[in-house]
Amino acid sequence: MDKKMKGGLMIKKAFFKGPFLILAVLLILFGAFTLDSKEATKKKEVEQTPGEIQKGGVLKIIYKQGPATPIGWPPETVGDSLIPGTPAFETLLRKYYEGRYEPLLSEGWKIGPDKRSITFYLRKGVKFHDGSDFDAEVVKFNLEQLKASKFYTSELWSSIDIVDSHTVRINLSAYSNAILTNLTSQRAAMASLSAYRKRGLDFMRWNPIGTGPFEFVSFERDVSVKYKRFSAYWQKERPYVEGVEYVFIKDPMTQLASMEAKEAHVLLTDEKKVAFDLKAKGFSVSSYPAGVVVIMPDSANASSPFSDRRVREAIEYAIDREAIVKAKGYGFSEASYQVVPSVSNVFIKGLGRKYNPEKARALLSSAGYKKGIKTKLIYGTMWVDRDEVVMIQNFLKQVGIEVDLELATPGQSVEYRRKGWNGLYCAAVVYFPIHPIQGIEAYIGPRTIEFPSLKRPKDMQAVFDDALSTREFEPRTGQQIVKLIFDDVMVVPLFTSPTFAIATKNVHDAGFHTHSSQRVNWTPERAWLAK
Amino acid sequence: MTGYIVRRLIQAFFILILVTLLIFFIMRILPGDPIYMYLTMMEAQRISEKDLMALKKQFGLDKPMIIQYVNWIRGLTHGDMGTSILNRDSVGKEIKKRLPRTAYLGLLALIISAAVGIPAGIISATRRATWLDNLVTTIANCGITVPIFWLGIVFIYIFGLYLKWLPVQGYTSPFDNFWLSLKQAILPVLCLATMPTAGIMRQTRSSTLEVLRQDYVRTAWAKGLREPAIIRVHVLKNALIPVVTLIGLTVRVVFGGSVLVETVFNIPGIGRMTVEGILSQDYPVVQGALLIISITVLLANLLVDLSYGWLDPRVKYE
Repeated sequence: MDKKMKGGLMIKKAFFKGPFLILAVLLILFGAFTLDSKEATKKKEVEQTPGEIQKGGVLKIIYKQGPATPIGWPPETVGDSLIPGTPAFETLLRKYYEGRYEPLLSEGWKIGPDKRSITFYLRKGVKFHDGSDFDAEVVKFNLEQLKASKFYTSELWSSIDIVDSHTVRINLSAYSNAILTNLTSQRAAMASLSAYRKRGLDFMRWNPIGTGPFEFVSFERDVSVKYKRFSAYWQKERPYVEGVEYVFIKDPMTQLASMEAKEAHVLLTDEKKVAFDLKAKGFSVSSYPAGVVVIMPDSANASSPFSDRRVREAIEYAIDREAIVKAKGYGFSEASYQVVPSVSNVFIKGLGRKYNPEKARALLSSAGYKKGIKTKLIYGTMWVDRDEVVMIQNFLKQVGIEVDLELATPGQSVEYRRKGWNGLYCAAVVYFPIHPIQGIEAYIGPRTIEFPSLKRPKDMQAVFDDALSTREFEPRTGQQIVKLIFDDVMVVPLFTSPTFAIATKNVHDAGFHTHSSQRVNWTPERAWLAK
Repeated sequence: MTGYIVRRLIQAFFILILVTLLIFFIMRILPGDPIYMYLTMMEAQRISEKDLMALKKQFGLDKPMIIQYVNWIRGLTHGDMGTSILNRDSVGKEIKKRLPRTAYLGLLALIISAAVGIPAGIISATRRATWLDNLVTTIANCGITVPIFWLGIVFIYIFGLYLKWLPVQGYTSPFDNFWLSLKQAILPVLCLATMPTAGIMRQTRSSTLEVLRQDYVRTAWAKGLREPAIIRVHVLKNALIPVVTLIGLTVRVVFGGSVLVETVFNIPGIGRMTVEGILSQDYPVVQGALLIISITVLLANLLVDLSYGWLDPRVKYE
């Protein structure tokens, strides 16, 4: 290469160097605030094919019960009441089961380098159903209401600052990787501040005014909640259906008949038999584990035989979970040997104590219970049915554990959970697919004041704290907790309890069981009905 | 007559006091705390004892039971039935909304029961030991034994799913959409009416048979009167006294049945409200609903007692 050419290249290099550097700096600066959200959203949303989408129709959804707590004021909305509010509200972001975040009312977010703040960059041009604007003031107000309601991990928010009209910063006293996840909860949805100021809290409680794809029309207790399409919705062209209607039907037989009679498009249920029957009749069935049913021994009670790890282990070996699932799972439940279902990213392959009654007898014998044990098994009907507990009773009897069954009313169940019990208690560890460890911590972690009869392994809280303190949740740390619970036989996992979204064949892109909470969230703005 | 009514009302008042005591204290004997039902599982795990006490105070559940009872009665005298623990709605308002739905279905069921049961009972009695009597008696026996919820499910499958004649579930006010309301009411009303119809049929048959054996009926036959006239003028009115008593008691059965029928057919009436109130231990809701049902049954019984005088002039209200 001659000098001229070299010189030319050098000139070109020098020519490009300046703008390149500026561009690089700009990219870094620009990238800085979207880095976290970009990282988190590396997989893009599956695009719908516009040609296929058909518009119109009212999507009718059956759910077992109407809201008890207010549907229009997210900080006060809890449990089943969250479900009928979904078409009206949106959160700052969504989190999908595979770990991907999706910006919704925020265009991006940034976790401070010292993990002492999370800054949200809000979407512009978003309107509430009452015509008011969505901006930083609204977000600050909503987040403050949420904190006042003692929302999970909001105790770590030290303050909320408005940076500019469309930027909000949450300052943190300590960091938890569950904070961002929790903001995807329907309880963290944004309600209109303007409507709140004009109409007051009592009005807002039963009149959802959000930025969501559907405007609230009416609510009749134990009958229905109705919505119509929001014409000024920020996602142009969406939503595709003209309205959404939740119909509340308590009785599973009536739910099934109503679906068969084509009175509704979707049934949200936990009834395995109903799902099985409707699947056989050609309905689309989407299911996801809502939790793992477990037996909790009164291991914290020093005089209980279950305070001995060997006895707890014996129970694990004594119960043939595969047989229970085969008989009562209708193809939707799986036998569980860990506190998380096998779809979880913290599930440890190959870990489990399989059915081995001989080993169970030997363990009981070595623990000094050669003649067996007499105890009771308390159960409610929320997670298990009578047949399942009778099967458990029979398996335990075969190894010398005589169990009296006690059916607890819903009120009694809560009292046992709160005040403790003697013997065995059947409950479930609820599964949060978007953050499985937070679910375990919330339900049976050392900080919860429930299940006082359950002994927690030593140092359990420290392991939780480690798992929650990393910038992003790392499945490896979650697996440590699963292993800790398994090694200590803290609970005896039995089988998964699924939740279902059963739909007629013409329902498309409704997004049930894809993001946030499996019982609650879906994608109403994308749903469409084939004619 | 007026004196009798006043006496009966005073009597009803004391019965009501007894009823309020029973409803109030039985609900509180049930295991479990309603405040726990109000909280979600997640909240229940995090709420402190202090916050729990504050919630109890908010609903007046921190006070001794007798004080709670007195407060409830005091509220009732001011027309305040309390507030639902679970959803914070006014119980009175909710009952006002739901009672007409239950009453609408219940009244239709009562009318059908009487309209079918009385003629069928008379036919059965006057055609005693014939195939018609056997048929009516068999149907009545079936009707009285069949469980309402099972019947509801069978009706749904036959008329809603197989024949597709009627909607499977739901309720619409007749003032909003009369035809839809009628279509939705047919199956629940038939379910509610089945047992009372069978009961009325059997009672009418037996009391008609008894009256038919009376001398004055024989005299009427001897006078050459025709059967319809004998039945209408001489038999029916006298045979009706026990039947009317039974119809009065049927009000209670209809309210009881509404608990099941409203659940199966998804009708937001007072029966379903009671069931859900019991399941969630929502004291004010259960107390309010049962009180209204008790008042309705007491009033129905009073009306029945008053009707005796019209049916049998020998009955004196002294």
